[in-house]
Amino acid sequence: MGHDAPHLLALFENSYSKYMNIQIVGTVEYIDIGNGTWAVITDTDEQYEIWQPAPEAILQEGLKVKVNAKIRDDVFTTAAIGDVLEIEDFQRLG
Amino acid sequence: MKKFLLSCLFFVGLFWALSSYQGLAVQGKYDSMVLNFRDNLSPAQVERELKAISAKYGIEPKFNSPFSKSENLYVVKGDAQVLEKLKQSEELLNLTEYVEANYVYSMEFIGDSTPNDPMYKEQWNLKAIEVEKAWQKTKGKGITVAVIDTGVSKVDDLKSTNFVKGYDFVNDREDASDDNGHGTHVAGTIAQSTNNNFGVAGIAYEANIMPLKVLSASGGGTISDIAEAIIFAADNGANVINMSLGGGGESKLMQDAIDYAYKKGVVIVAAAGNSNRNAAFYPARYPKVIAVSATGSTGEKAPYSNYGAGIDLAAPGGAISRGKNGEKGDTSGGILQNTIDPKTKQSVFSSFQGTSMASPHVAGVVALIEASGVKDPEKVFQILKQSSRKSTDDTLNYYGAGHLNAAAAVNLASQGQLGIPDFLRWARDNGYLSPRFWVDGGAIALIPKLIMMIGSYLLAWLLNRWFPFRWNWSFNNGIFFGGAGLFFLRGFYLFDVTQLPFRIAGSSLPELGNAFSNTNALNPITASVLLPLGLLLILLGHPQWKWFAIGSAIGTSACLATSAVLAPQMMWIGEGSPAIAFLSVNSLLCFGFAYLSIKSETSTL
Repeated sequence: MGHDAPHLLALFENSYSKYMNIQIVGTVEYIDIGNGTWAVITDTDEQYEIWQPAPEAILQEGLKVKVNAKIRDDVFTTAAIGDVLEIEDFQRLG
Repeated sequence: MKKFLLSCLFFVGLFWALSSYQGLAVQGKYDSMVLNFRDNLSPAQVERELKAISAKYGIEPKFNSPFSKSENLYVVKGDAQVLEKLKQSEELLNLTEYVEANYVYSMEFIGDSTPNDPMYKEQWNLKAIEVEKAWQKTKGKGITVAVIDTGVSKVDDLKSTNFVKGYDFVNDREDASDDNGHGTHVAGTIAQSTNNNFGVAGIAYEANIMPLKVLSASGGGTISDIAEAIIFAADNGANVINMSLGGGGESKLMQDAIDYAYKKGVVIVAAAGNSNRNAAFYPARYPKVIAVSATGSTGEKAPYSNYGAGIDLAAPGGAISRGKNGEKGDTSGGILQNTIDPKTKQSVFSSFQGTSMASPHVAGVVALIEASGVKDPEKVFQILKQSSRKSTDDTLNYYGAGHLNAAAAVNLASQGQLGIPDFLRWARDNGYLSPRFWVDGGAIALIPKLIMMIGSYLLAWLLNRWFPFRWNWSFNNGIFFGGAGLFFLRGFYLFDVTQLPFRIAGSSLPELGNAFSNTNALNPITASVLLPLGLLLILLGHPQWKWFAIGSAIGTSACLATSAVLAPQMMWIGEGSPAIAFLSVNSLLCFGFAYLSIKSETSTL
């Protein structure tokens, strides 16, 4: 128990004071809202906005990707299409 | 015989009272009809049907914009007679999701208030909110609107617009120019230079713009900058704040800044967000912020717009079709303003879509309201709600209190006569103690519900006069669930999840069927004698529960009778006489079965 406690605390801090890490699989799409933004759309139609600057290579319409990212709940955008993803790395699929 | 006459008189009286009741909706003018064909029809089927319509009625349906083609949304011009015929065509009823009046937002131009801006005719959105009539009274002079966004550049069509000192919180400097194009577009909707023989018009074009840059060239920014900008606006004399931004989470910092500005008398308006979800995003979700959803040029909810929990009002946000290769399609359904090209920084006229575009429509109208003399945020909000054009079938709260109407808002503000505050307003405000929960006071048509309740108790009283029986708890419950149900639950929302459980819990027996399909059209299976009859057959042997079944038959009878007169609208059967006949017959059958059951119960005693 004594061994686990610091680890649990770290998890707690990670989700509350910092950003949540997430891995998602989806398709990159350009969304025409306002003057436009890039997004990852999952198979279940969840929309995530790609925070800029993002790796240039991911910004391709229709690209299937698996991304590791942080959810930035401390930022707001003009597009307001959903959670904002700061992409750490990504993998092309298919 | 006397009793029979008495009951006939009762029904005649009830029907007379109901038919003289005008309903809660504000009726508008229309000269065309919207046909929304079912999405599962093939283009060939739709094409065939359109040809049939034009051959039969001599009118040609057109799709409203290329965007609406994919949604199978068509508009037909025609006078009231043709439209009435169309509405009653059985074939159309089967093939369409709905056929309804395409209300015109008054198109008549009034003398001097039609501006000479050459591209004004493309601004369907300004006609939709009837801004010209509002301009006869005020153009927003003396009111300051803070635009918390990507900055505002003084493009050509903002040259004669008044600016007050702003700030760039991204680069920490006084010059709050735009390097993205979003903020300038938003400022254009609020106060584009108007009647200057150039470009387009804005809503409150004599108001002052306070440019506050919190979002970078790529369109994003932090909570801390936004919170600072809100406080800057409140401290520097802004009357209205527009925030066309969203996506982040809840924040104490931002909440405090909003409360601070609100206490200083600033009206805060924000975009509901663009993910077609049942929830307004932050900051629109905060209790003191007016959350605006977006509509397209037909007045329908724009496909991207958030809805439901937290939405206060709807305004034009535009709907643009998607062209080939992700390019923009026909942009005529978008909101046209002067802004900058983000790449070249040159002045351009661009059509955008988004709740970002809807929010400044409301902010502009707030400036007009304030210039008419009403400045208290609570009162301004009430004027916006009271003056909005109500939507009759808004079961998912797409439009909040209704569609923004500048003319009615300014009229109401200058008359200074406000109605009583919202039903359930207290619950809504208290609901905000928990940010997960929201109440839509407008979701419940209170008067029909009261008529249903009173009607059921009158029927029960009548039967009690005939055959004296003991009025017990089960009987009361039966009447209640058959007639009205826990109707107040219909307006309850939890953010981000489906509202369905509340709709079901808030339905009376006859309404159960349409609780699932999110319409006001009653389902003939549940809105009939079937459920009460089933309950009677099952429960008649039980000493207590039989009274629940009898009560529910009486309640259902009153509910169906009320619907037959006030809102004869049924799935599959349609509106008008067939629905009235169906509901009336079933209402009488329910009453008949209740009568027979009570008669046999009391005679065996």
